[in-house]
Amino acid sequence: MEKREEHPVAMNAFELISMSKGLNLGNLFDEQAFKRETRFTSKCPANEIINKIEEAAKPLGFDVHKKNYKMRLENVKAGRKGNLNVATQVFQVAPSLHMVEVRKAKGDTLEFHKFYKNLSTCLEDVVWKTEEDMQQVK
Amino acid sequence: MLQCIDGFKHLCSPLVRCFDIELYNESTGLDDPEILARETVFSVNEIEALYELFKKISSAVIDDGWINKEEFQLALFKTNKKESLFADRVFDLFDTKHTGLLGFEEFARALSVFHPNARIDDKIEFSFQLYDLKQQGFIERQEVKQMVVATLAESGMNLSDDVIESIIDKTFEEADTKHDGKIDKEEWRSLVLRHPSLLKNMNLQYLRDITTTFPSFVFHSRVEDG
Repeated sequence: MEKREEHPVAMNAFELISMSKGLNLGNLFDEQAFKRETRFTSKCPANEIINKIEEAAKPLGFDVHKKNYKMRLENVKAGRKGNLNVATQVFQVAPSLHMVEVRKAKGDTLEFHKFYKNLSTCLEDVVWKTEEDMQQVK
Repeated sequence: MLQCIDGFKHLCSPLVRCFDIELYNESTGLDDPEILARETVFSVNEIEALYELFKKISSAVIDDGWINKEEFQLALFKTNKKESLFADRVFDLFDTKHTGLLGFEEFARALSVFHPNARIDDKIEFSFQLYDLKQQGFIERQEVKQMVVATLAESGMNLSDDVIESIIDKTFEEADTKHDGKIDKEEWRSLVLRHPSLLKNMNLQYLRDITTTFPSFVFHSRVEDG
């Protein structure tokens, strides 16, 4: 069992800033919301977040590799563009607030989108605000 | 001479639209994709595909071959009602000719910096200028706070001022090695080399696939990529 670091990486101000929509020019290319990465915030402890994601991903047919507060989820079955490979990372924004980034590392974007939808239904009690929620606020 | 004609054409753009479409294309900057290809990280076919994207964005509100601030916001946020400190900064940095409008050349040259193959020094320079809101040659604590507050407001996250100050404290502790309350270019460079993820938004994987995202460029293509 690998020893885990005390806390996830404390979010650097610039790390936070670089997540703002206005600085993500990928939006110029995306017609629809089939983005390659998304994020949500959580008020749960980081360890709990990691465990819940693992619990949710395994029954969906994904292999889980963890290292500190980063995870790699790989679909055992190959999809349209190979095995879907998803990277997640937990950041600490404030002592009781974490930001979880979920991004497609390899594979089909549509499959990633479907996977994330399934994952989020399993993570309902972990997620505080989804990216959509965050976008709703003016 | 070409510049005069360009200016003239721009002023007369409603008239020009009545003319040959070829003429119109030339006036808005795809005279010579080879030149842009040579001076950016893009291949000729990628420049042509990028031009398809440019046409789409620049015709959204006023079909004049230029991207104005509103069209830029529309493309970025899918709504033109959104004011954004960051979109403004990005637009200003793209607008190297300071005309308030983006021509294709400015668009292509700026996006070249975001290509995964572009030089990291260019990305470091661009991002520094992005965050140097007042363009004083250094990033002040006040500017960082302004940007953090703007990002939080945009994402609906409410953090107390104490928490925000502590995030910035930690950031400056690490970044401000000269302890002068500011982050200069050298300090920024050093910070970013230690934390490459800070340049994450300076890399657009989409630019690698641009010829497949905008395949219609083949209809106008003049060159076969080698």
